[in-house]
Amino acid sequence: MNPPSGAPPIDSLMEHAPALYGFAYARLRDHHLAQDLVQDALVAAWKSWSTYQGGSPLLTWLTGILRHKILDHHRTSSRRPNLSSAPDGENLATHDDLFNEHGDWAIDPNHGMQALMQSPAKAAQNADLRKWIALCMEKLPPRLHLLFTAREVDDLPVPEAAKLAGVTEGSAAVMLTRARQALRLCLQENLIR
Amino acid sequence: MDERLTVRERMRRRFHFFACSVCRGFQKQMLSLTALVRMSVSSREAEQPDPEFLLAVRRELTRVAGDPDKDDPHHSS
Repeated sequence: MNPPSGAPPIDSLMEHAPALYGFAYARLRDHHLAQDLVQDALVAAWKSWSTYQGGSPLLTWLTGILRHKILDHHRTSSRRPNLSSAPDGENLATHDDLFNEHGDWAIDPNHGMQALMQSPAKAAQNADLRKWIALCMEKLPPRLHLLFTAREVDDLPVPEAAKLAGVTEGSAAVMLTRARQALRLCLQENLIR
Repeated sequence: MDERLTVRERMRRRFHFFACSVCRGFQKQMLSLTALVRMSVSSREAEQPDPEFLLAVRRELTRVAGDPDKDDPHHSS
């Protein structure tokens, strides 16, 4: 392999390393894994610099490479035996029996949830809610967490989020519903405690 | 929340929500949940990496820049 023509100054790549690390850590919740994948992504960026068109900001391009590294990691790890009993959150306590057999509400889902029923902006500023959501998100299994953040935070369409998390589109839809229900139920349990 | 609704489905939902206060409350919860999740993830994104890690990455990039063929499996010497 020849060095890419007009190789980027290493400083230009390193300038974005902290942001890339933050991106990876927020999604993977594992310092060492985030570090490994950021390093891999930056080395890959250096090697494929000639493909960077310059049409988008450098950080956007680098983040795209990092996303692929995360996807590759999940593809590889999904082929390994998984010791977790519920890798995709299959056993999450999500079924709070919202609906009865007629499709009517079986419980009052809004009980104790007034803080969450303000405007989203107000809820996001509520310190208690922020504390609880951080704790509740910790309970999501890694793959479900990755899928959920890809969809809810990065606004990726379901097919792309599914690809990133290494699951089928059909599974992704079920998993996303499961994640929302798990988080809502977890918040409710903590708020009415 | 993940599938695009048809016009007919959107209309049905609108009428249903008009009559269902529990549903309106539930929808507010879902919107707030998304805002909270975004806030939570963006606060994690502010996490700063270990300076040692940054030095290690710089060293690795310098090494690759100095000898880009070294770890290229397709390279034949």
